[in-house]
Amino acid sequence: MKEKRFDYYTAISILPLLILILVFFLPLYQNLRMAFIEEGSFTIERVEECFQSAYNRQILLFTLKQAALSSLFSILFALPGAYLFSNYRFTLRKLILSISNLCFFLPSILVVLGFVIFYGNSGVLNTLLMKMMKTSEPPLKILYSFKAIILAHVFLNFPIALSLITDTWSHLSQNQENASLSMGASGLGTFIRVTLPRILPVILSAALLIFLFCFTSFSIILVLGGGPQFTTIEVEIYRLNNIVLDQEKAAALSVYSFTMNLICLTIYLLFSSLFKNKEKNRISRLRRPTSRLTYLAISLYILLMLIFFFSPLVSIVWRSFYSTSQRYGTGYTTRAYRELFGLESSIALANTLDAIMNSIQIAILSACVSTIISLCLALWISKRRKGGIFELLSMLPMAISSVTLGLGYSILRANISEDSILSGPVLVILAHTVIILPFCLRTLLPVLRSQNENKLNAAYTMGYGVMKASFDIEIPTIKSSIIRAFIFAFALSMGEVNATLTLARGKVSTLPLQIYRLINSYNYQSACAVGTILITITFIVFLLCEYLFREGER
Amino acid sequence: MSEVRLENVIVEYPDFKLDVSFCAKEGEFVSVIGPSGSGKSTILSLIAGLIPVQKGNIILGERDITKEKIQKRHVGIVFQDYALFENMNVARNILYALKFHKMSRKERKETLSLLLSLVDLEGFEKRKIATLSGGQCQRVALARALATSPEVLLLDEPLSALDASLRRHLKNEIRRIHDHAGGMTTIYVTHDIEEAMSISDRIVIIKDGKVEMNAKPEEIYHNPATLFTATFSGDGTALPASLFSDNSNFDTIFFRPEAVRLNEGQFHGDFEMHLCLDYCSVLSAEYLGSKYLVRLDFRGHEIKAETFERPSSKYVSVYIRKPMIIFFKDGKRVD
Repeated sequence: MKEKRFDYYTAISILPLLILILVFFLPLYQNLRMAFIEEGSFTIERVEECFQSAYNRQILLFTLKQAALSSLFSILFALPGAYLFSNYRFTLRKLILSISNLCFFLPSILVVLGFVIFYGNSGVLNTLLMKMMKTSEPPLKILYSFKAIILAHVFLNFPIALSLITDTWSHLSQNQENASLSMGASGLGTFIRVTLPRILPVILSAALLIFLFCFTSFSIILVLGGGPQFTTIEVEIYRLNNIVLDQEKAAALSVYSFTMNLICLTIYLLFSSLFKNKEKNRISRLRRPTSRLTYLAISLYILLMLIFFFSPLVSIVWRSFYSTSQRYGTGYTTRAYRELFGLESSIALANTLDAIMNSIQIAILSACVSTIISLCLALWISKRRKGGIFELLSMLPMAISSVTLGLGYSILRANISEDSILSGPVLVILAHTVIILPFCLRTLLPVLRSQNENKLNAAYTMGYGVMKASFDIEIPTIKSSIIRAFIFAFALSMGEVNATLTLARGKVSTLPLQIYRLINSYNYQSACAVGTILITITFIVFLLCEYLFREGER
Repeated sequence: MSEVRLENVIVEYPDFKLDVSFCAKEGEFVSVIGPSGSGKSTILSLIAGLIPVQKGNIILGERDITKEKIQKRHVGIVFQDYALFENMNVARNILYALKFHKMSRKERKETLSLLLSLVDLEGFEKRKIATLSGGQCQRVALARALATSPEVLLLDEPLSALDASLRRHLKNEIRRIHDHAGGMTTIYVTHDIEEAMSISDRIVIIKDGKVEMNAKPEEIYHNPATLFTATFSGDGTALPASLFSDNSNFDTIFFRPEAVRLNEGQFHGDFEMHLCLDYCSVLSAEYLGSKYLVRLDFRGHEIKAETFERPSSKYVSVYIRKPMIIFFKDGKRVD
């Protein structure tokens, strides 16, 4: 049976592996070939030259610095919350934790837009402060600075840290702390010597993941940084490829990005597998807060979180109904929506309906392809005793930033005719598939690994064939996780802007691209109207995913 | 070591109320036993200061520790999951307890080796916690709890995660360690009545947050105060009194298996001294090594009896020794 099983699971993984090679390794190869091959022979000159340039070294240092600081501040902001959420039971606890998962779905372009609308010089916060302080000068000048980059990264990533740390911390047994306290240790001493060593791996793991995300962050830096002094490797690769049109330099620079990401990803995966939480605590450590100070701390943290997290998003919705235009006058209006749905003519929003349809089509197709590929790969990897190396290989797309991937596809496109079917939306769909594949795999693989193998063995004893048992028992058992992987993939594709921006070149229009273009033309009300549609879709998808997660837990 | 007294201690939750008073005398080994959810572990948490007392007092020796911080209570506790610090080795786990007591390095070392020899773990100083077996973890947890020379030792189902043979061995070890540690006052929470019966000086039976009975093991077994204590403290048969009598002073009779004699032929005993039930059908005979535990059916009621031979007939007569029958009315014992 073992032999047959190997045949079936290997067979279903061959096509997905071939597709993965085609859509991921081929562009990556093109990238590396451009960086290392000159006139048919190998050279490290371009990569070396790239590193010797003081400008590039400065970019690399800045990229590391902003990623490290973003990661540090995200953890620092998340830690007090993780303590409160892991140790106390209070109203709204579950709801707030669910909402913090929203960050996994939130497109970065919405964060950019929210920040511009809320923290901008004429943004909501400054307008309020100017009215309160009766001044005409905006008191907070956050945008287009280093602060803005860090703030936006913390906004987008601290919920990851909060969610990961709380998940581990709340499952730790309280008994170790109680034992320490009963031996005379103080609360702080117990935290440092007993609690911290147990949560340190997850803190470091979350920090690494956030570092990886911030290292490859693109649209936030591109819009909120606003200057050459705040350029990161990703932005520079995009500039070299799309503006300077020097693909060779872009490819050489992408080698550094790829190497750094690969190192981070390997450490992250090693960390996650080495320090898997072995404590299986069945007794909840959650208790009702008894002191007023604890109540105050919880209320304050939730308030801060809601203000920090929701204000920019709510501002987008509000601003979509509020005009500051000199031409149309100031005040509340539904003009942006009328233009958007073609009830009034508009140049800015002419293609928005097309963009919505494009986004949905691209997202459905890439989510379908990536879910099927990841399901086949997950089934295969979960049956292998030493599946780690294959898991790492399948996760490799996470190590390559979407801008670098976009660059690979651009190089590949040079060999494809402009009229080819492969040019345009197909290329975007393939790029999206690669980008979202690791996330689908991360959703499915742990679920498959936790399945009871004896279910299948029982089916075999009843005469089921390996394939039939897999289709009738194994796959239906994880149905809700498959749907969740699909929805998650759909949301990620809907919000993808980095690779799309690199590849679109005016041929493809999607919702995030539309927002990016409208922000660049300072048409904020229209950008917010498109943003509101994206927020609505994101919320629906998020709620569906949360519902399926709860169903799966039952 | 000190006496521990719980005086009208009340803790109330939306679906549960604990209201207990009992005392563990100096040097006594007291087991607290009861069904799941009866509140036995809550009692330990209250003594240790892990949950606050809402009403009543807890007295340890001469001190009222009701509102005392956990660090100042001087209690040692061993948890069901041992709660060992996995980031520290065996020695560091035990030394952690001594960190907060003024001791020279030499004294600490001596205490460590004394404790390790007490729990039979000499040479295990450098061992990582992850490499220890369940029994060894339990011993380390015990040594760690004893390290601070607490006034009372609290054991919260420390054997429940171990297999049956190890449990049998370690329960005697726990009693030995208790006696060697100068007869430290110990409160031992368990759900295993046999475990409690075999090692305790006294047993406190808890049901629905209230003390059902607080007495020596022999007293609990032979003279249970309530029907619940009778059925919880060992095998026995409870039958409705209406089967035998119209007397309204009691509604249930209870007897242990050893009070029952089975007869397949003629009965040679004293009829006056026995309650006779004819025509009981044999349901099963469980071989226990030196005897059989026989289950019988009498008019739809199950009777448990102990015999030295397996019954050979399907139907037997049952003779119950009258002095060993206990009478209950509304769950309470009547004489």
